[in-house]
Amino acid sequence: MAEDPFELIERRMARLEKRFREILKEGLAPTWDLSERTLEPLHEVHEFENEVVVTADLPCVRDKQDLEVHCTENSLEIRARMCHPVSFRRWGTVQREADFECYRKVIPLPAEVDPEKAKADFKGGILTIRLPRLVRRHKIRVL
Amino acid sequence: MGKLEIQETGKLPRNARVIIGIPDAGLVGLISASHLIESLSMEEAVSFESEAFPPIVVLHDGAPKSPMRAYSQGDLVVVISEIAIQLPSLREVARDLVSWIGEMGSPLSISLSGAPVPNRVDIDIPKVYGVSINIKDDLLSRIGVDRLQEAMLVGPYAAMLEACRKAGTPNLTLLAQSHLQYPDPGASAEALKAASGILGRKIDVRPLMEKAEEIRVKLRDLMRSTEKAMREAGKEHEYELPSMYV
Repeated sequence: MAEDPFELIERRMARLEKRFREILKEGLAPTWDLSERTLEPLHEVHEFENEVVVTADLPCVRDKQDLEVHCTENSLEIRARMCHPVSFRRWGTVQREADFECYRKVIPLPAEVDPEKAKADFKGGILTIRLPRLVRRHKIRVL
Repeated sequence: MGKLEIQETGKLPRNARVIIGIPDAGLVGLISASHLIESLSMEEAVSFESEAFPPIVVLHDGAPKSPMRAYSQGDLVVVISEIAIQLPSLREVARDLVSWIGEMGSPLSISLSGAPVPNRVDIDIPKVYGVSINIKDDLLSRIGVDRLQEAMLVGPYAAMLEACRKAGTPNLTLLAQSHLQYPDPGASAEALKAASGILGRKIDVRPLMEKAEEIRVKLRDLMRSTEKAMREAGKEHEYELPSMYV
């Protein structure tokens, strides 16, 4: 049976609202966590007709063994360990040395994807993940 | 609104060549300018202020400074900005900067920037392209840099070129293939190698490459704010194919 178009619109609106809230939160939030010694990596998300491509800049990560990527239909989580801690000296208002050892970022995806068909590549410190879009086909009756 | 207030804070040579390093694609200009200032032990000479800048003061060794400054050594001046220049004031800041360069009697300004390419991760040695304006002899071919033939430039360096064209000021813009939204020390190194041919100085880029990963980590937040400024300026137009039939 064809999906109710109003339900579809409602679901999409809820998703958009959620994303707006996330963007507002991201704007002012720090990109680091001192207690967990993690940094948020720079990342890009590109939406294409058949896939969503996510890249992340992960300098100081040498080996793909140090990477952990988890994916759901709606989000992607990247965790990576640096080969050595990166120090910030006399740093910001805390005026002390801060060492960071890992990257962590949960990235909301702009479209539903099929996590089982995702592919990842790591080159020159840049992680590229290709996520095929999930296609839900509905038969439409012609009256 | 975006008028640039120029305050000399040190020794400023006349007739100096001026390198411009403003945050843009891959932060190539900023990384290159910063490397020049450090490796040539340049001294602060000018502080630039503008009501168009956000109310930001940067602290270096405890001293409050404007985020946009110029450094000098011998016959070279390097302009560096530690903040992205936002769209509403881009033209005015560029116009005032070019006017100041002209008043100094500078024979040449050299803008260093990135030319974003989507496949940057597959490029080991980025190629450098050049755009020259109000320059009679062919500097580009002398330093072995191909002229950018068909393209669209957007952002602070486009504003600089526009201001130089209107003022009749000589400018050479060197664009190294780079990431758009990730700091790119590799592209900066190639831009500096190309510039060294004009400056007649050997610029050692090995220290820059040795700390390339650390630079990428430490410039994340500036890259994020520059990304917003680039989006507002319509930087994505640089990816567009050139119009063929005009």
